[in-house]
Amino acid sequence: MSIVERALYWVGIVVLVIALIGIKGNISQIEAKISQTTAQTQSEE
Amino acid sequence: MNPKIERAIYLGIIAVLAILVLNFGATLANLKRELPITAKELYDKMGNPKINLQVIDVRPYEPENEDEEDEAEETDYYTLGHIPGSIPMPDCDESKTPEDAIPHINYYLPTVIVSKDGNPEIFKKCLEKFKMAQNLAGGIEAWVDNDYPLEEDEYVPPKAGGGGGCL
Repeated sequence: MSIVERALYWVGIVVLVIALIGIKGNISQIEAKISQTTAQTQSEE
Repeated sequence: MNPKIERAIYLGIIAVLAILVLNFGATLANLKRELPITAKELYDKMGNPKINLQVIDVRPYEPENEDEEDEAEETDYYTLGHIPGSIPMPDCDESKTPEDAIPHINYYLPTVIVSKDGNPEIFKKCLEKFKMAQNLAGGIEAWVDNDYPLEEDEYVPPKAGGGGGCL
């Protein structure tokens, strides 16, 4: 296997890991917002 | 290491990561649907002509008689006060929708569901029909509380060739 091919695989892996971390971060943010909204709604009731 | 095995290992790692990205992406999309949009966010989005957004009003369309009209508040019926450009679809039910409005409902557009007070039950019903729907937090009452513009009277279909933001 050539160095170029190996490098391309690593690029792919790094891109996917960054995407995964980004999406995970977004999920946490939205979960926090949802729990905040739910708490607000319950306190209004 | 045998190049075939090494290649298989790399491809395996990439496949696992890709599956994880897809799964988390689907979770993110579902969570976004659960997150209601605020009146301010909706107002800002409606003022931006680059954002293609459909607003569906699920409140009853009009009072059935004059007594009901006298007692009703502007937030009770579509015809007494609605978000400009919103399409009436009472109870998210096509059979209760004015005939003029039916051809303008697109189930595949990003959609905001407007009820009187942001009722999650009606929103759940709408989610079965609309692929990308968000609930307006606080419903039309939140919109009115923020002093955003309201239109009165019956639904008027948009003219052909019209475009741009609706606010």
